[in-house]
Amino acid sequence: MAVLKMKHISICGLKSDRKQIMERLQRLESLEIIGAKEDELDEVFKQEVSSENVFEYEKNTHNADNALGLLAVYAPEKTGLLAGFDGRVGVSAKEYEDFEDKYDDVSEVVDTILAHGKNINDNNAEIVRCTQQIEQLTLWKDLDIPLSYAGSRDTKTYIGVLPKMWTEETIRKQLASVDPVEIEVVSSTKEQTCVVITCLKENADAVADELKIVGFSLPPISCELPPAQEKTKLEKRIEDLEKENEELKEKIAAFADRRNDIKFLSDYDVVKTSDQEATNTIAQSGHTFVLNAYIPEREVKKVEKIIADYDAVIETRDVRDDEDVPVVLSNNAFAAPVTGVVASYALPGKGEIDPSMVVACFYYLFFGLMLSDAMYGLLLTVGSCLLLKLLKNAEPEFKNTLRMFRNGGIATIFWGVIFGSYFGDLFDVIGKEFFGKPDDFVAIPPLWNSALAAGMPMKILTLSLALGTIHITVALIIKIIQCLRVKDILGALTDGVAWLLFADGLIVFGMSTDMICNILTCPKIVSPLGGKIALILAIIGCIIVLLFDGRSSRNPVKRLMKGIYGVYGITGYLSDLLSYSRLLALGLATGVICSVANQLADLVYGIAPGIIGIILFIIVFLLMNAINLFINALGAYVHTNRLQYVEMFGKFYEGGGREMNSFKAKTKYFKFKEN
Amino acid sequence: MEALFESGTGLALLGAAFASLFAGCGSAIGCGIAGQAAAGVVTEDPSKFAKVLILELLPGTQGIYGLIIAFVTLAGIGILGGDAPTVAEGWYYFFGCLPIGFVGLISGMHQGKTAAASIGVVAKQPEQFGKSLIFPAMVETYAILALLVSILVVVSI
Repeated sequence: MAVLKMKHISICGLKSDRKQIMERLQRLESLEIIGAKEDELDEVFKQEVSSENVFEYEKNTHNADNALGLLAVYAPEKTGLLAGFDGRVGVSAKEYEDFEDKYDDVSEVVDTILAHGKNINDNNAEIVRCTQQIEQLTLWKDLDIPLSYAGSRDTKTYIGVLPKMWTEETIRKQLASVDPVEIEVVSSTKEQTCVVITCLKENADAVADELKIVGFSLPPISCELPPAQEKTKLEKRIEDLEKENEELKEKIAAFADRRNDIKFLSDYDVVKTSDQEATNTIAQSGHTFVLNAYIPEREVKKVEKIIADYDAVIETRDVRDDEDVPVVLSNNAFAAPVTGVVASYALPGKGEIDPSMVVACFYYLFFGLMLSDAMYGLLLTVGSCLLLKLLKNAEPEFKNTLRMFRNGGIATIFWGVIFGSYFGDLFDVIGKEFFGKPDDFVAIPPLWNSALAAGMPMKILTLSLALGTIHITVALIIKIIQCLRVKDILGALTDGVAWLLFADGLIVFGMSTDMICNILTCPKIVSPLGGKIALILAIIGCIIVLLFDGRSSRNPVKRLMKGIYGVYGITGYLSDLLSYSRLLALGLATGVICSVANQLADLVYGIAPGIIGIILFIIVFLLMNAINLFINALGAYVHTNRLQYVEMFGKFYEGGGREMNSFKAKTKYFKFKEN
Repeated sequence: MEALFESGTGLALLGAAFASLFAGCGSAIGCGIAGQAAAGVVTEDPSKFAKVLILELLPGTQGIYGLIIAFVTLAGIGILGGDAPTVAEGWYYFFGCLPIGFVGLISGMHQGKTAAASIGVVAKQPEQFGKSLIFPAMVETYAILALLVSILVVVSI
């Protein structure tokens, strides 16, 4: 119905009751807490900020969510197709309070799951390390001594890697000066050669020097066992780790039945977080606290009822004009679904009317005219109703969107029946193709005429422009009402009445001329006398705009110039009006694409008449219509929004209202309700 | 070539080809631009898939408008129904097809860019989705006006 009247509320209570009062107010979700201002604080009343608590709660929530993530991986939750759209499950406050007893137990479960998860991660890292070592060892697999072997009593053994490819001969050549040496090439590739070189102990340093020259280096790994055995050991280790991981995963999966508890814990601490965050902002003395908030007037009773249970006092007063009060809209079932559309443009500013009701009337009408197919409308309506029925816990915003499509769907059925469009001309095509009806067969006669019939597009264009005229006129009337509400009579006259006379007068005058009537192929409904009167009214409107549009300027020349520029604004009205031709264009688009779909389906049926043909017919029909419905419903939604935002709101609506930042817990899984 | 200008069907076909060809190109380019931006957003936050997909689809309508005009033309000139047009009618069809062809091309490209920018809005402020839809819709207005002119011409022949 409108913008709700807001009240300022102050609650003063005992600190010992604070937690309970705050939690109950939080579940109400209709307060916006005003943090204590500097000048309200003194020696006695202070803000008690405890960021450690917030940090602790947030960490708990974070941990619980991580544990849920692990559970989701190792024990996926079986969910329905629609689960993603469903909202939070409602839970009573009692369950919330009872959870305190379970808290430590669940917290332990979370810790266990996270510990298991960490072990799995560590094991995986170890597995990667082992795999890398095995890769290194494959180069040495033919060696039968450990890589750490250094030599016997009289010999020194160098085990290592030479860059590039070497053979025994080339190495021997390199070490010719330090003979005798025993050389064994273990493996050799283009990049590196693994060698074992044994020499006499007294030659050890000389050999080392020679090797250094050619870039000899120790192997990147070391092992106490011969490489082949070391490899088996590592493989065994990997196997063990993998087995351990499987066990850990099973252990985590075993907690699947605690999933709800963990979700609860996550939300439990979200509640605590927002509670603490709010508490941080209010003023507290040694034994009392003071909480100031904005609240819609109709919710005050609920707060009073809660406060009555405690030793606390409550004080309400009207909000002052200079206060930055949040805006809350409330509408009946017809207009509520488009509240979101209005809010996504802007919330009404000071002194502005909530346009939801007017928007709703035109919204459904325009949406239906743009989609204009009875069967599509039926699908939208049935689909939305079904989703509303199935998704009981869906969030209010999503439910409103569904309701909007439901109402739009009903309007679509209405227009579809008027134009006789049921999946386009599907039933005509079926009649002709399958039942041998004549070429001019019409299965369900339209209430008015088919939109594609000769001459109809012009008639629908006229209808669209007429609807546009009404839309813009209503917008100007709201402008007048708004101006009168703040007693701006000159504004009402110049920005409202004058334009109403000017724009609508010109349109009515146009309707009385032969030229316009011929273009629109409509009968002359306005008599020449009516046209003259309309023209005179339009001129009066024009003069008012000319004289008063520049009223903010004191300089008469400037004022006149501004007035002339104001009159030029009539071109804006003309383009706004023509913009409504999209109602026709998008309506036709749906119908034509439907016909394309049906003709294509008919064509593929022609390829193989019979059962296969019918199956092909159905496949093509379903595919094309699914795409058409999606694209055109999207188009109808977007362009209906545009007509409201640009053509209508441009005339009177500025917005600028502040959204209410209500005191509530932004929980993910459960919605806690007052008992 | 000369024969083409003396055949009503040929001229009408040329028009139908123009309508679906240019408008289709416009949508392809537009969806391409918007699609790249959309994919970028989804890498960061897969939950925004539905929202950015809708924005990506907005420049897709021009191609459909072109298809509509091409189809209505084909249905009127003896290809999918109707009778072969005279040369004069062929020219009518041809010029009737031009608006959606060219406006579809240009508006598709620019709507794609606007949609990409709107996808940027959604990436940072998902709650402003409603507003971000409107900017690409502004560009689409001109495609719709062109469609209207084309449809009024082609249907009335």
